[in-house]
Amino acid sequence: VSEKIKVMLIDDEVLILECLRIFLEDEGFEVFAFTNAEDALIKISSLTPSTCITDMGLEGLDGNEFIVRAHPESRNTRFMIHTGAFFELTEELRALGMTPEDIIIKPVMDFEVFTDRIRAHAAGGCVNNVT
Amino acid sequence: MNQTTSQLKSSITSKITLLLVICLFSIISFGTVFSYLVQKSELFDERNSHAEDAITRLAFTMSSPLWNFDLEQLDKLAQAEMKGEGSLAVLLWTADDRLLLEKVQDKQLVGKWTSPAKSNTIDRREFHLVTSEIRRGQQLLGTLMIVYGDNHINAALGNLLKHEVIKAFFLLATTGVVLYLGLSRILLKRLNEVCLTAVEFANGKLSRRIKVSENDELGILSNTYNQMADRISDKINQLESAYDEVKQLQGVLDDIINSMPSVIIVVNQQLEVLLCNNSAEKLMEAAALNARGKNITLLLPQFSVTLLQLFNGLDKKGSYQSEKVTIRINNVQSNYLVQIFPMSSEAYRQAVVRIDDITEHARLEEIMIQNEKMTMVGGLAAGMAHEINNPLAAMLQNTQNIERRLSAGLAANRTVAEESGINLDSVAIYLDKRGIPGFLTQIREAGSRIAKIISTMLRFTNKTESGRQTVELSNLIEQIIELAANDYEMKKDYNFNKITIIREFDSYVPPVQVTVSEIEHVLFNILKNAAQSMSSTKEDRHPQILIRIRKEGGMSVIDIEDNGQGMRVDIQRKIFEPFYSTREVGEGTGLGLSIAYAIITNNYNGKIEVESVAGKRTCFTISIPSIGSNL
Repeated sequence: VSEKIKVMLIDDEVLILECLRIFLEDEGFEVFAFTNAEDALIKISSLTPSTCITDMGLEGLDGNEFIVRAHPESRNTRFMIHTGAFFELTEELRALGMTPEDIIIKPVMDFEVFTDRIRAHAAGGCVNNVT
Repeated sequence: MNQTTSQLKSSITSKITLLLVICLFSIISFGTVFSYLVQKSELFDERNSHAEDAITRLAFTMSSPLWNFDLEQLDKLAQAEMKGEGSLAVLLWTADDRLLLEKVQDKQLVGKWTSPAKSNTIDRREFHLVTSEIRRGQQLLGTLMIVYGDNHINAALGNLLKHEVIKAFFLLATTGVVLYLGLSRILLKRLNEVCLTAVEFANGKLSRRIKVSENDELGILSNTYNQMADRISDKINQLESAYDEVKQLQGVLDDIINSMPSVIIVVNQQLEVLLCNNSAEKLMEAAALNARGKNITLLLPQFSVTLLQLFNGLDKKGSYQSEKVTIRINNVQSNYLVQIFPMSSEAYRQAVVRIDDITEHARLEEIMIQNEKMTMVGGLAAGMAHEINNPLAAMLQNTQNIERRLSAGLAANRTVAEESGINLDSVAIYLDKRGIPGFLTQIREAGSRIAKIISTMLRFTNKTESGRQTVELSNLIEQIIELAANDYEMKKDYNFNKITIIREFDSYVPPVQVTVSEIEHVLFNILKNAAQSMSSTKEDRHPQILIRIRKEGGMSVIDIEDNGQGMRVDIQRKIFEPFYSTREVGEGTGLGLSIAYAIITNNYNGKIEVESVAGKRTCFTISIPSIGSNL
C-alpha cells in the first residue's frame, strides 16, 4: 500500500473545513485540518504536506502572511488559496511561484478542482510552480 | 503746414516792413517838400535881392553915358547885364517915357514891355520886374527896367527835387532791406519756431517744445507756452491712459461675459436689452446690435412666460429670482435655469438675466447619484459575498458529500454499508424512487444560482488595475461576437446566429487599457440585451446589430445599435440600476448592465450611455479613455 498524499487545510469556518476534510478523506488523502494559521505554521515543517489549502481572511495570522512564512519551512509544499472574496495574488506570492491557477473562489461547485491539482502536484513531485 | 507758416512769415514780414517803409516814406516826403519850399523861397529871395543890387548898380553906371547920350556905351552895358543869371530883358526909357533901349533874350518878348508908369500887357506873375530911375543929381534922366525869369530857379529846384527823390529812394530801399532782414533775424525766425512748434504740437507731436535762447518777451512767451504744453501733454497722456484703461476694462468685461457659457443679458425696467453676451446671441439667434433695445420676451419667446413671472416677483420683492424650466424643441428636451439678479444701483433699475443650460448638469447629477448607488451596491455586495459564500459553500459541498457517500463508487461506502447490514444498490433504488437525487440536484442548482449572483456582484468592487492590457477595440469586438455566437443561451433563446452584424470601424481608433474579462462582460451583456430585444419584436424586420468604433476627443468609442423594440424613456433611465430587469424573475439577475456601468464608469473613468426610440432601435455608447490621452 503506497503512502497517502498529505494535505493541510486551514479555514476558520468549521463548516467548510469539515466538508472539505470529509471529501478529501473520502478521496483517500491524509488530511490535517487547522482552524488557525498559527497552529498550522508550527506544524508544517514536521508534517511536510504535499499541498496546503488555506483561507485568506483568517483571524490573527492571515493567509498571505502564513504562506510567506510557511514556504521556507516546507519548500516542496504547493500552496492553494480557497477564499470567499475576490483575491488577487500579491507580489510576494507571485515571487513564490504562485499563479492564478492556485486560487479557488468559494463556493466551489465541485471539489474535483482540488483533487486534480493535488494529485498532479504529488505526481510531479517537488516544485510549487507547476502550471 | 509749412505752407501756412511760410505764408504767415511772408505776411508778417511784409506787413511790418511795409508799415515801416510807409512811415519812413511819409517822413521823407514831408521833409523833401519842406526843404523844397524853403529852398524855393530862399532862391527867390536871393534872386530878388540880386535884382535890386543889379538895377541899382546898372542905374548908377548908366547915368553918365545917358547924360552923354552915348548909346553905344549903354548898349554895351545892357548887353553885359543880359549875361547875368535869370535876366531876360533890359529896357531903358528916357525921362519923357520914350523907349531908348530894348535888349531881350527871347524875340517873343520884344515890344511887350511898357514903361513902369503904364500897365504891362504881359502877365507879371511869370516875371520879376525891377525898375529904377536914373538920375544925374536931381535931374531925372530916364527909367531902367530889368526883367528876370523864373526858369533857372525852377531848373535848380527840379534838380534839387531829383536829388531828394533819389536820396529818398535809396534810403527807403536800404531801410526796407535792413528792416526785413533784421526783423527776420530777431523776431520772425523765433516767431516761426513758436508757430511751427504749436502746429506740430497740435498735430500730435506732444514732446515738441520751443527752444528758448533769450530772456525777452518772446522767451517768456515760449517758456509759458512750454509750460502750457507740458500740462496739456500731461493731461492728454492721463486721458489716453485712462482711455486705454477704459478700453481694456471694456475688453475684460466683454471677455468675462463672453467666456461664460451662461446666457447673460442686461435689461432695463422696460425689459429692453441693453447688453448681452455671445451665448445670448446664440440663444436669441440675433446679433447683439440687433437685440439692443428690443424686448427680451420677444427675443426669447420660449422663456417669455418664465421671464415675466420672475420679473413680477422682482417688482414685488426686489430680490434675486430663479426658476428651472424644461423646454422641448424638436423633440429634444433641455433643462434651463433662469435667474434674475437686480442691479444694486437704485438709479438705473436694471437687472441681469442669466440663463444656463443645465441639461448636462442634470444628467451629470443623475450619473453621480447612479455612481453612488453603484458604490453602495458594491460595498454591500462585497460584505454580503463574504458572509454568504461560506455557508453557501458548506451547503453546496455537503450536498456533494451526501451524493458521494450515497454512491456505490466509493470503497469506504461499501464497507460501512456492509457493517450496517444494508445493500447500497437497494438504497440507490430506494432513493431514486423517492426522488432524493433530484432534490439534491435542485439544492445544488439553487445554490449555484446564488453563487453566480454573488460572484457577479463582486465585480462591482473590482478596481484593481493589474491584469489590464492594451487592446485594439476591433479585435476585442470580434472575440466577443464569437463568444456570443457560441453562447448556449444566445443561440437557443435569442437566435443570435440569425442576426446580421454590421461593422463600421474607423480606420484609426487608439487602443485602450482594459481587463479583457471586464470589457467582455460589458459588451456581452449589451449584445445579449440587443439579441433579446430583437427576438421579441413581432414585426418581420430583419434583426441587425450595427457596431461602430470611432475616436472622439481622448476617447475610444464603441456604439452598439440594434433595431429591436427599443425602450421608453423611463426604462432608459433605470436600465443601469442594479436589480432592474425587464425579464421574468429568475431569467436575469438584473445586474448585467449595472455592472457594465460600474466597470466603465468606476474602473475606467469612461462613459456608458443609452439612447433609444421605443419600437425602433436602441443604441449603447461606450467611451473609454484612449491610451495616450490624459483623462
